[in-house]
Amino acid sequence: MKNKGSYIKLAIKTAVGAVLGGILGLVVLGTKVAHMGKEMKGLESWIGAQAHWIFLLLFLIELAAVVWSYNKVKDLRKQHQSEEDDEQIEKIEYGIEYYNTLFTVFAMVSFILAMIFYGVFAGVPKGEIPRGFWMATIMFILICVVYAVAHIKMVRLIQSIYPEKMGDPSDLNFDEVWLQSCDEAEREVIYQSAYKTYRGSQWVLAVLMVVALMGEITWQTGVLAIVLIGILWGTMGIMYCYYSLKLQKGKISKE
Amino acid sequence: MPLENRLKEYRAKLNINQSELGKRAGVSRQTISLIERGDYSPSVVLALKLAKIFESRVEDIFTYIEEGENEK
Repeated sequence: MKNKGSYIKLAIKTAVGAVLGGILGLVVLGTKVAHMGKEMKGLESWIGAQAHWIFLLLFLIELAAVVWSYNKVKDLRKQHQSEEDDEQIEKIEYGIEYYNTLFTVFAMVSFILAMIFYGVFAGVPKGEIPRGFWMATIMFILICVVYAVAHIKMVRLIQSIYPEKMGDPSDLNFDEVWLQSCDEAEREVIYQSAYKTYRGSQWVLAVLMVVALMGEITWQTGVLAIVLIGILWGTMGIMYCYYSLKLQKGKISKE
Repeated sequence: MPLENRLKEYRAKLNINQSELGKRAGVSRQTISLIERGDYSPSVVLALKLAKIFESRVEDIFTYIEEGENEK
């Protein structure tokens, strides 16, 4: 009965999904949503025409945000160096973690947005160079450079607060070396976070796959998105299985 | 967590803060804080290191509480 219950639950969820999908499909086809393709093309053209200003704004926001959060961590470092009380140190270290997280999010979001906008902007007809092309391209490169340099500076700052943390952020094996310099509790946090991220990513990728399929069916967005999501989903799953098996067999050297 | 500890008490006897204990045990201050709060159970190796620092037995610092005893 216990095993049958799982199949019944699966059947109910599939049926509910099918009904919701059907309703969504009717909504998409029966309303203007299906004809949004033209509006999207219009938006793409607008982004292409304003790209240099968009990139300039994105660059300035990214720079301001990373400098602000970097300076916050720097200020907390000064407090950390002079504080002796455990409770106060706890608050300071939480603050460091908080602003470091904000820093990472600002830098990453700016970088990803830059990639997306440049992808839209770069789809120009052959033989034409759009207005503001060079400015947009230079701004795009600067956003990528700020992302890389800011990451290195923040790692160095964190290492000055916690000298036991090792690794050169410009090295390919930085993550491995950093992990080795973490103690057992820190590694536990990393492992738990990584697993939750893996599980969450499976859901996100499943939703994105549906969106990409809907996009292709409704707006002929192309199969590239479907293929890329499929590759990413498959790679993550296979890599997870591979490393789980390897760990079980004890072939990964224990730290 | 099924592990109770008297780490803070022992640390107070030595008159050292969490950072100092962390340095002596080879772990971060946050790890010492997590252990004291009962949010993290140390490995056997770390528990032995801590016991050595305090010149005590592991059982004097850490106490294992059975599930039933927890609920009582």
